[in-house]
Amino acid sequence: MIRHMRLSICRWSTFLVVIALSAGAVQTSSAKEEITAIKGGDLYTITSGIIRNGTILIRDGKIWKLGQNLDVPKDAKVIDAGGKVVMPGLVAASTLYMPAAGFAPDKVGDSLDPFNYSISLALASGVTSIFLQGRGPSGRDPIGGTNAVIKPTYGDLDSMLVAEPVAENANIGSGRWMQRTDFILKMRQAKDYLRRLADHEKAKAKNEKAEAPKKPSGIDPYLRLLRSETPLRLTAMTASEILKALELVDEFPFRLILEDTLEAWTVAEEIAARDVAVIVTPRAKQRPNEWISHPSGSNVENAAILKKAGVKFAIIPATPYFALWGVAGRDLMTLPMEAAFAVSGGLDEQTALEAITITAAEILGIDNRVGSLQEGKDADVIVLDGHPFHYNTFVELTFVNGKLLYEKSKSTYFSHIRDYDGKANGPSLDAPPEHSPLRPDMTEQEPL
Amino acid sequence: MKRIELTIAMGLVALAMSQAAWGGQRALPTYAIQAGKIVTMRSVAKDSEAVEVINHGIILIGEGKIQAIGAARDIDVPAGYGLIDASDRWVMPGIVEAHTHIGAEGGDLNDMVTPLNPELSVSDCIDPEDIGVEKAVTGGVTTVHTMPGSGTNLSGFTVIMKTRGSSREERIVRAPGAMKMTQAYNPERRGGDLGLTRMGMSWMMRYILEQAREYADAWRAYEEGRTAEKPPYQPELENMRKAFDGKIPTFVHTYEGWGVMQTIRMLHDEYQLKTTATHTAGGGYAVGHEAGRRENVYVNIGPRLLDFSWGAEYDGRIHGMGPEYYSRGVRNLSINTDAVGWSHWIAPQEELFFQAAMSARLGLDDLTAMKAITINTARALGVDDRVGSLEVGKDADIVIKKGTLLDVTCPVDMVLIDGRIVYRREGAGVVVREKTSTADQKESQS
Amino acid sequence: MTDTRRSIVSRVFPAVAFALAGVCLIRAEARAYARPDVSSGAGAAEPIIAIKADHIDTVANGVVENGVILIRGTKIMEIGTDVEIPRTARVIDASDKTIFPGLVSPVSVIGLSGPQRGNAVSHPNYRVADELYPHQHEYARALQAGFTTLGLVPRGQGITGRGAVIKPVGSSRKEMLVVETGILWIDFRASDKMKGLVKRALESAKGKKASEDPAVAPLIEAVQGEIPTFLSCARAADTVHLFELIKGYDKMKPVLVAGYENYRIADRLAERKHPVVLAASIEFEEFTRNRLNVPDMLSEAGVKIACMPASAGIEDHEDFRRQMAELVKYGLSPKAARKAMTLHPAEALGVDYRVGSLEKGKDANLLILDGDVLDMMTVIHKIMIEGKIVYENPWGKTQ
Repeated sequence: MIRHMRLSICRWSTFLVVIALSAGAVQTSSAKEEITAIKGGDLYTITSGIIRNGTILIRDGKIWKLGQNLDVPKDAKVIDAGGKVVMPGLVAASTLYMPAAGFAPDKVGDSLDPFNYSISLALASGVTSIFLQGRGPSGRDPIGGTNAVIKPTYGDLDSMLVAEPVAENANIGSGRWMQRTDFILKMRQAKDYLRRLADHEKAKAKNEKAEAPKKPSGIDPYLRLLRSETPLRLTAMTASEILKALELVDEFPFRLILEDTLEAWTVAEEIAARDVAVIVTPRAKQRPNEWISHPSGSNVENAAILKKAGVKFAIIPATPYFALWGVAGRDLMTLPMEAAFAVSGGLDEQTALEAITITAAEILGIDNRVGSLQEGKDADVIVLDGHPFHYNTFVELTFVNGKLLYEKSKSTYFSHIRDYDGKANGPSLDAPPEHSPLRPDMTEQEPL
Repeated sequence: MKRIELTIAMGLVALAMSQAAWGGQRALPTYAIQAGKIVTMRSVAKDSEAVEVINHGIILIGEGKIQAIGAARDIDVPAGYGLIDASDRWVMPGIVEAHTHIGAEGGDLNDMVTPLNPELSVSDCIDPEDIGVEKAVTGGVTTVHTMPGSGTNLSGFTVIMKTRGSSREERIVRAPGAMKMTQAYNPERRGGDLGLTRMGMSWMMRYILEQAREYADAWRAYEEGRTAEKPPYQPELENMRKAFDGKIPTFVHTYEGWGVMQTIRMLHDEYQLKTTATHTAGGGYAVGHEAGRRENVYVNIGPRLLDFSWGAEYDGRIHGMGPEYYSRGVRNLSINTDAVGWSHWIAPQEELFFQAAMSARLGLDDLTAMKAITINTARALGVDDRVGSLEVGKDADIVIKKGTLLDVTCPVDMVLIDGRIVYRREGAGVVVREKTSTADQKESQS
Repeated sequence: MTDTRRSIVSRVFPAVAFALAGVCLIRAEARAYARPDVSSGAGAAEPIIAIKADHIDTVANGVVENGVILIRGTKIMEIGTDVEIPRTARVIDASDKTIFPGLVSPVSVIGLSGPQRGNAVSHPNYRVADELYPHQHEYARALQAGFTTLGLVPRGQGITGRGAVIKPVGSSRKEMLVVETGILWIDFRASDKMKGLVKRALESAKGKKASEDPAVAPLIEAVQGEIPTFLSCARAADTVHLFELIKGYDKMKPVLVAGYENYRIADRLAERKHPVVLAASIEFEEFTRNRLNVPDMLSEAGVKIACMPASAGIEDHEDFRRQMAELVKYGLSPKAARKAMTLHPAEALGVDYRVGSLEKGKDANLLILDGDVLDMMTVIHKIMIEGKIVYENPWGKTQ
C-alpha cells in the first residue's frame, strides 16, 4: 500500500510540475515584446544606401530587421510611412546650453530633467542623441570637467543618460598658453610612464629584476588619452589654433576632436593627415583677416573642402540649442538646414546626411548604437514628410529606443502647420518645365 | 507674350543699339538670357495672386533694363547680343530687402540725443564697401532698403539702393526711401526724458507728425496756387513733407497687437500715410485683419518669424507670423533680415532668401514667400516701377540658380544688377558669351 | 428561645448587617465614580463641554447631523446624535452652525526669519523651534483664518533642519509647541552636489539606532521613520532624482512637498501611497494659458493630497479657504478638499493621532462656522483649541 501511495505521489507531483512549467511557459509567451513595423517609406539607412518602399521592424528597443518585402508579424503595430522618408534620429555633436541639464553641471547625469521643454523640442526636431557640455576645466587645469550624451526620453530619467563623459574637455586653446604648457608637461610624463611601464613588463617577461615605475600624480586622464580610451575636445577657430593643436597630436598620439573649426578649410590637408575629426558650422560668418597673407575667415565651402581632403566632420548650427525666441532656421530645431547650407557650399548630400547622423555618432563614440539604420542598433528612428534638406520638411514621428515619443499631429508645436494632405495656404507654383531639370536628383540606390 | 508688347520691345532694342552706336555714353552690355524657367513675379491678372511663369524663356537685356521677356519661341535674339545660358536653371527677379542696416556707416545707425530726428538721412553716410552689401549679392539680394535704427521715435530717413554700382548715384534708387519711425520698445531704453512711456512716445510722434502735416499742407496750398504767401522754409521738415505728399512711404518699427494697431491707427488712419508696420513680433498678427483690409497698410515681418512664448495666443503652438498674417487677409506681406554688419548669430543680408524659406516652412505657401522678398517689398517701398519683378521696362536685376529662391541646397549662381553681371559663383558653370560691337566674341564660363 | 437558635441569630445578624453595609458603601462609591462631582475641589476632573450643532463634519467618519460633540478637558470624548450630556457639562448651543476640524497647514514659515542665501547646506541639527517667538501677530492672524495647527519649516536649500508643529496660541514656546522637533526638511534640486549631500546624510544614518552626533541623530530619526521627512521638489525631475536616492530606505516617511510641475508624474506618486503636499493654487501649463488644477489632477490619480497656502506669506494663510474653494470650483472634489485642509496635512506632519479630524480621543480643535467651510460667505464664529474657546468672531451674524 505504501508503494502504491509513493507511485501515485510521484505521478501527482510530476503532473503538478508539468502544470507549473506550462503555466510558466504560457506566461513567457504572453510577455513577448511588441513589434513595430514602419512600412512603405524610403529608408535612408545612411550606411547602406536608400531602400525604396522599405520596411523596418523594431523589437525590444532595437532595429530588428530592415529591407524590402519583409514579412511583418501578424501582431505587429504597423505604421504606414508611404511617401515618407525614414531615417536614423539626428545626432547633435555639440550644444551650448540645454536647459534639460542645467548650466555647466558638475555631473550631467545628476542634473538631468527629462520633463524639460527642450526635450520635447528635441523630439519634435528629430534629434535623438545630444551632446551636452558640462562644466569645463576649472582655473588653470588644462583638461577636466565633464560632458555627456543624452537621448530625449521624455519622462524617463533612467534611459536618458547614454554616457558620461564621452571626451576630455580641453582648455589649451587660444590665450591659454600656461594650460597648454601644463598639458604638454603632463602628456610627456604620461608618455614616459607608459614607456617605463612597457620596459618593466618586458623585464618581467625575461624574469629580470625590475622595479615597477612610480606613477606621477594626476596623469590618469592623460594616460587615457594616450591609450585612445577617450578623445580630447578642443575649440580651434583659426588656422593657427588648428595647427597648434595638430602639433600636439603629432607629439603625443591621441584622438582629437576640434570644435568650431571655422578655418578648417584652409588647413584641410593637414587635418586629414592626422586622426582628427572636426565639428563645423556651414553658416558661420567671419571676415577674412586682412593682415595675414594666407586664406582666412569663414567659407560656406568649408565642409566640401574637408570632404575632398578626407577629413571626418559633423555639422552643428550656429545656435547650438533649441531656440524658440523667434529667429527660425539657425538652431537645433532645424539641424538639417545647417547641413543643407553645406550642400549649397558644394558638399554632396550623402556626406551632409552623415555629418548629422553617423559621423556625429562616431565623434561622440556612440556609433555602435546610433547614427544609422542597421540591424541591432538602437531603434532611434524618425519619419519625415519630405527630403530632410527641403525647407518645408517636418518630422512626423520620432522613435527613441523603439518607443514612439513624438507625433507631429498630436503635439501642439507643429500640428497646425501644413495639413496632412500636404497642401499649404494660397497659390502655388506650377509644374516644373519639361526637358529642363530642376536640380540634380537625390542619390539613387539599387534596392537591397 | 503679346505681339504688341513684342513690337514695342524690339523697338526699344533698336533704340538701345543706336544709342550704343553713338558712343559718347558708357555702353551698357546687352544680353539674351536663356532661361529654363522664369518666375517673373508679374501678376497674371489684376487681383490675382498667381504670377506669370515662363518655361523655356528668353529675357533680353540692354541699357540696364529688361527689353523683352517671353517664351523662347516668341523672341528673336538680335545680333550683337551677349548670351547667358541658363537653360537648365531658374531665373528670378533680384531679391529686394525691406528693412536692413547695411551699406551705411557700419553700425545700426542711431543718433539718440533727441527723441525725434527728422533731419537725418542715411543717404548721407552710404558706405558701398560695407561687408553686408558686399556679401548681399551672394544671396541674390540686389536692392536694399537701408534704414536708421530704432533708437528714437523718428530716427530719420532711409535710402533704397542697389547692392552694386560704380558710383553712389548709380546705386541709389531713391533717397529718401522712406520715413522711419518707432512705436515701441527700443526708444524706451533711453529713459530720463519724455518718451519713456508709450504715452510719451505716442505724443512725440504726434507732435512731429502734426507739424509736418501742417508744413506739407501749407506748401501744397502754395504750390497749387491756393495761397499767395510762400510758407517759411524748414529744411528739417522737407523730407517729412515728401511722406505727406505721398511720395515716400513710412516704415514703423512696432511690436505686439496693441503696437501694430497703434501704428495702423496713428500713421494710417489719423495721418493718412502709406504705412508699413515692420517687425510686428510678439502677437502683432492678432490684428492682421485690420492691416489686411487697409490697402495702404503693409506688413513686413522679420527678423523674428515665429511667435511662441512671446505672442498673442499662448497655446503651446509655434505660430509662423507669415501664414498667420496671410490667413487674416494680408496680401502684401514682405519679409526682412534686419541685418547689421555680417554675422551668423542673426540673419545676415544674403540670407533673406532663407528668411523667406523659413516663413514657407512655418506654413506660408512657397510662392507668397517668394513674393514677400521681391514684388511685395517693391510695392511697399514704392519702387515697383523699377524692381521686384521681371517685366519689360524694369531694371534688369536678375538671379540665376538651379532651384527656387527658397531652395537652401542650391546656391545663387549668377546675379545681374542694372543689366550687368555683378556676381558669378565660381564653379557654377553658367556659360556667358559676351558679344562686343566689334565682331569679337568672348565666351566665358565660370 | 433555645440556646442554639440564639447563638445562630447572634452570629448571622451582625454578618448580614455588615455585608449590607459593605454593599451599600461599595455602591455609593461606585455612584460617586460614575458621576464625578465638579465642585469637589482638588483632584477634580476636567471640565466637560457639549457642543450641539446642526452639522458636524468629522472629516474622518462623515457628517453627523443634529449631533453633539462631548469634550472633556482637551480631548473629544464622544460624537453622535444621541450622546448623553452630563449634568455638569457646559453646553454650547451651535444649533444652526457647522462644526469642522481646525485647519492644519502642513508647511508654513510665518513668524520665522527668511532664508539664508547661499549654496546648498546640510545642518539637520538646526531647529525651527529654537527660533519660535510666540507673540507675533501673524500667529493670531493664522488662528483667525481657521488654522489650529501649523507645521513650521526651515528655509534654504539642502537639509536645512527640523521643523516643528505648533498651535497658533500660547504665550510661551512650550505652550505653542505640539511637537518640538518633528520634521526633517530637505529642499532639493537635482545636481551632483545636492545629490551627494543627501546621499552622504542618509548613509551617515543608515543602520544606526542612535548617535551622539547632533547632526546625525535627526537623520536617524528620519531614516527610522520616527519623524516624517519633507522633501521639497519644485520640478518633477527633482522628485524622480530624489526618489532614486531614498530607494531602500523603507522605514522612512517621505512626504513630498511638490511643485506644480509634479503633475507630470501623477501616476508615479499615486503608486507610492505617501501624502503629497501641494500649494492651493491653480497654475498655467508651460507656454500656454491652459489652467491646471494640480491638486485635483493628483487627487484623481489616487494621490493623498494635503494643501498648503499658495505662498509663504500670512496673506495666503488668510486667503487659504478661498484658495481651496477655488480648487473645488474648478474640479477638486469637496471631500478631497476638506481632507486636504485637515486630516492629510495632519498625517503628513505625523500628528494625526491628535489633530486633523473630529474623533474620539483627538484634541478638541475645531471651528464653529455659520456654513460650509468651503463657502466664501461663511464666517468662523468660534475657534476651539484643546477644549478652550480661543477666538470669538466679533463681527459674526446675529445668532
